[in-house]
Amino acid sequence: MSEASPAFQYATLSQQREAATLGMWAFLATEVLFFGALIAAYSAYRTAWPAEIAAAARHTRVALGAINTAVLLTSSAFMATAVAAEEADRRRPLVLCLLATAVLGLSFIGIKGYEYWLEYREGLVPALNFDFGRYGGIGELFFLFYFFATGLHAVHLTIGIVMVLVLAARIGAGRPPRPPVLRMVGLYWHFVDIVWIFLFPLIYLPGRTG
Amino acid sequence: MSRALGWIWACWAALLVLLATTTGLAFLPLGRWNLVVAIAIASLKALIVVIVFMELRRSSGLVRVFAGAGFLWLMILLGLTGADYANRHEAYIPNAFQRHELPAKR
Repeated sequence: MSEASPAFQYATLSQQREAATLGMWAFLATEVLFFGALIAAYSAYRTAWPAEIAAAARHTRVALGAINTAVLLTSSAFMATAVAAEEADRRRPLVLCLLATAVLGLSFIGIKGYEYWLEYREGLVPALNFDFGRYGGIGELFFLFYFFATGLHAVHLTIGIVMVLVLAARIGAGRPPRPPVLRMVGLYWHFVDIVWIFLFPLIYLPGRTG
Repeated sequence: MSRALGWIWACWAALLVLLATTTGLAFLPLGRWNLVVAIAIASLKALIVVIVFMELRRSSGLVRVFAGAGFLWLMILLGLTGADYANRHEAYIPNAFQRHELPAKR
């Protein structure tokens, strides 16, 4: 892998990596604002109706949320290990780390889906079966945010899982992509992790003391 | 490679400790500090991920500026939205206009 040549428009591999990294961070900055708008909406709700938002947040499953956070943090550690393995030119650990990353990502989606199922059964899904009398209008607003934010996060994660699996397959088959590609997928993966790091306390932790 | 791995998995352990801390603290009645502590711990976790996993500690100055720009614009987004909502009141209507009926629209 280390003897790969840069794409034709670059003089060296390090120049190519620098350009790709810069572009990836520019893309991630737009993603920050994308999720930032959702969080701004959440802050407005929470400032306006702190007690109602806290009461609604109590209906989320904090244990499942915490487990999912641990799963995602672990997947990020495996992704970082994969990048280190690529640097050290060790193919087998690299493929194994990528597979571990993808499996943990899929576990996250599975646990999230189970949570969605529980919430559906409790009548917490806006526009489908939201129990207005039980949870109130602000509760519906909170769960709208919840399904939008976690749903968009899950879409991002699914894209990441597909990219990681394609990378693992290509490297396993001896057709690795150009050197910056794995790093760029890694940056994206860690960004999706960071989004969850902030969603977790905003969604699962309010209203646990009452 | 082993040195990089040591860093990565030490950070992983720190992230899990922080996760346990923030989850535990959420059950203590700290009033408005619950939110402050939760956001502070989340920011610390994000900082660890950005610096170690996303290799910002090894990146060039320009890449760091790009990363910082994303954060700066997020703060502008949250700051201006917050300032707007914090200062929204019922529109001030002078008494004179309230007492008299407005002319009917044609």
